[in-house]
Amino acid sequence: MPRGWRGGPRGWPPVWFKIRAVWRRELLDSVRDKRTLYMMVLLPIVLMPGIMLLGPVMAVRQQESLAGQVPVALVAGGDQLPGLMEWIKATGALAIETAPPGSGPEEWAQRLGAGEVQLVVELPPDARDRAAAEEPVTVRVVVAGGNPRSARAAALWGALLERYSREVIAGRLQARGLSPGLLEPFVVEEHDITPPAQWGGRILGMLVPFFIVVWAVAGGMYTAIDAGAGEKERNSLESLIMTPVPGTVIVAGKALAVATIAMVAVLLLVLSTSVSMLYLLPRIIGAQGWLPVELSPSGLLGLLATMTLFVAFVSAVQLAFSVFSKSFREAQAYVTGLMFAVMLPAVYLMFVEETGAALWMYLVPVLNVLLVCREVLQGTAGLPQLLLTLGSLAAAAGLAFALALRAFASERVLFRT
Amino acid sequence: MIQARGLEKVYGGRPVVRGLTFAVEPGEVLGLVGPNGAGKTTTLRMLATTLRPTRGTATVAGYDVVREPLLVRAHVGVLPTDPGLYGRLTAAENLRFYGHLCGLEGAPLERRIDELLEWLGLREAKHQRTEEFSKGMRQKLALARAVIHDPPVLILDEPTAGLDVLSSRAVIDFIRESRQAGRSVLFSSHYLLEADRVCDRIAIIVDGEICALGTPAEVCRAVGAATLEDAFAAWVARRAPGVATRVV
Repeated sequence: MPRGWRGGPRGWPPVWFKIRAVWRRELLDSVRDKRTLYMMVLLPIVLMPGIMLLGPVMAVRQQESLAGQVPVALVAGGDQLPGLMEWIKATGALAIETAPPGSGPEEWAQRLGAGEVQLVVELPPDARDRAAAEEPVTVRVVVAGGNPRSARAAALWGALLERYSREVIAGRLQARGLSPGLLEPFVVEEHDITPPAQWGGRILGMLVPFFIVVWAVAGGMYTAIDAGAGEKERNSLESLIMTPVPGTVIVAGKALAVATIAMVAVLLLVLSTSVSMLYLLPRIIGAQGWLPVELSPSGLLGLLATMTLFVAFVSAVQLAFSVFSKSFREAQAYVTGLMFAVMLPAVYLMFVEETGAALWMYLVPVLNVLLVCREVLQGTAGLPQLLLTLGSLAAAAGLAFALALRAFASERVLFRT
Repeated sequence: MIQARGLEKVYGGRPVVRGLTFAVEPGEVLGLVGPNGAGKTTTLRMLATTLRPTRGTATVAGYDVVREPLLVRAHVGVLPTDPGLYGRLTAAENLRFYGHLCGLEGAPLERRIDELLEWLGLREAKHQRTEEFSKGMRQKLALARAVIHDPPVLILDEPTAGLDVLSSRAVIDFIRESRQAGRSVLFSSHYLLEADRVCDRIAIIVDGEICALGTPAEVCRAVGAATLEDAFAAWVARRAPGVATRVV
């Protein structure tokens, strides 16, 4: 009998000792692979928050830049309604430049196009008479389409003119001894019942579930491909299956390694997204401190269990694809397809209301993860839905593992190159 | 130690190995020589339990290759055609991994790793990643991996293919030392001179069948050839004339 072939170390049953050996070897190999480090660490920690925050940072910068400059409106015929002109000037929101006598629409459009003014306003020659007769006055507004400064000036002009119109109407009604309230039979008062503590969860609920399902695939992708097709390509698989270890042990060790890498990537991404959305984003838009998240211990446990089972399921599927593939490239094509496949339910979910998803949806892997994660973060998760999700994911993970094992046990699959 | 009886393998209706019967005793080296596609690798894979025979049976170290594959693997050291090492792992890490899979651990495993690396002249490369190894170094490390658990049987597929003279010599010395240690060694080779130097007996396999089995002298005498190369060509010509034209 060769020395100690059956033995595991003290305290470790031989099967677990060998699963651990395969798991450790795969992890060691993976963390020395730059592609895995890129997908597992660099993208989740640096690039994804960067991409998420870049939009808001740029929007805020643009707003600040626009707010620093008062837009100029070139007004022709302003002398017809001096009251309106004075009222707008008094607000300080919009500067008024009177169109020089003898100038015309072409010159005004030229100045608008050159960015010297942001808006051209034309009042008709009979504006004063029409206003006195209490008839509508048509105001022609010319904007430079596509220019954000001009668009903002037009919006400002519209808002100011509406406010001024209300004052004029109120004056006319009062002159007739009528209450301005006659024109406002309803006043809407909106109250949001969402506690402030749930706002953080609502924001995370929109992003985190999607990231979890995508990164469960992307995070462990290279480890999975390397563990099957990669081993075939570099001919190390044959040596591995010649060891006195059952295929179940080898597949279990490999699946565990893929799941470990994917789980680390998912957790890093959830962490970096939370910091970005709850701490950095409020600071970018001028708020202080953290946006609060209300997450109960049972909710957190449910979230972790859902993530873990989903990662286990996806890792086993990827490993099955990888073992089945003839080459690294073939496996990469399958896994990329899988990534798009998990994105589809996320698109579908956009059309499902936040509450009231049918129970059958919690039986569909990916869809159930998206739903449960969103509900847990938003504080609306129910126990039956969570249990259905966990049961469905456990069954799917078991099935996927059996498929990976079947592929690994097939000599036709192992030796197809 | 190795007993093959009527071993057959059929791929997609095409027989690749046909009714092989032979034995390798402890302390004996049997060389399996034949042209490309003769069925050498398939035979070795069936004995190493990675392929299941279609018909026939074999025992290795007393264990049945179909019914007791794990016990067979525990008693055999295999060197496949390609060393298939983990390039991002060092020499010691590669050996430690296979040691763990064979149930070894701790100080005895570390001693065994040092002993094997010393024996094969790889002591200096112990902590070097194998992706930086030369072909000869990789082959030596694969041999060390094959015997990490000190198996009584060795199966080596083209162990000197593509190696330089010095590395080939190291492999040949390894096979001789294994024979002296009482191991049964079955290896396949294209190099007849090498087979002549190291084998106690030779089996010439053509088109999935053994057409000659005996000591190098017996194999030559049977066809009246002066050298093993001439004998090989003669045996191939008898069995498969088309193949003989290609190999001679």
